[in-house]
Amino acid sequence: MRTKRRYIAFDVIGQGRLTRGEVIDSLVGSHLSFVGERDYSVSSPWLISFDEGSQRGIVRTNLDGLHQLRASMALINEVRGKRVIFRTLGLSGTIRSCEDRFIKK
Amino acid sequence: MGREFVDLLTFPERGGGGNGTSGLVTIGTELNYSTIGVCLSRNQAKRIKLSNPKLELVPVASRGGGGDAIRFASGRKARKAASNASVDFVIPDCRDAVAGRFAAENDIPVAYPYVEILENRGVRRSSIIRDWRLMHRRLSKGGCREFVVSGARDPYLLRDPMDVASLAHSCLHIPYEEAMDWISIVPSSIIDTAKGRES
Repeated sequence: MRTKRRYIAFDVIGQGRLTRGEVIDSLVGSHLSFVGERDYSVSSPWLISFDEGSQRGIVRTNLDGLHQLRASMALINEVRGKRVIFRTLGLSGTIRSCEDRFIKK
Repeated sequence: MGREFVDLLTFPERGGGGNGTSGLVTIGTELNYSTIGVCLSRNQAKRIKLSNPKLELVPVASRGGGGDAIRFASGRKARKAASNASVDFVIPDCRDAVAGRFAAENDIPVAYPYVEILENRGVRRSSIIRDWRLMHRRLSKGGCREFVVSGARDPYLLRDPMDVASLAHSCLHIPYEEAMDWISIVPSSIIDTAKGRES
């Protein structure tokens, strides 16, 4: 059976701008530390896109680990000395609708 | 109509850096909060304008101070305050089962400040989550009202209300809808009670 996936649109509010690499590092680090290796596989997060100009991006997750990933993103406090807030803009079932509703706005 | 999100406890003037309350208003508005409780001393409250077109700031004061403000007690003082119902909400030490029992008996809501989870990592963070879970188990048996506050000392410790609900849902295994009530309906009812007392 196919796994149900969700796409989380997010933006970064903060004192400095983050690069795609910093976003990946902080997401993976925070999620691994919050849920551990076993539950990391439940959500299997994957950064689909991140626009360094607008500081908006989309991350894919399995439906079962959706809330855990959102919680992990909320727990990111600081990235390389820069104070940041990862804010969820919305959720969607497809990349296209996620981009249309939250990223291209 | 959508929900109105409330964060009932912040300490904007404790963080330093000078942009405490104004930064709180900017980021609080961006995160879609409708009301934020600010804990200020009497002198600070005189200096700061608490009305704002986009975001309502309500004064919150620890036990014994603040006049018309929403009153709370935390730590060791929470047990006594919960036993004589002299405050609007308490933040007891999560290992203090007696304070939790008094809060349940006197229908005093109990708040969980998520800043503790944000600022700690590893073993300390997991201990806090465990304490929250034990506290929640005790309180839910007694039918006590519970809710989440930020306890933020600077604006960058605020989080999007729905992300906070996800955090409460993940940490305490409560239904997501109930977690949403913890950041909207429960704190709103506390504000309404306090306003009723004033009038």
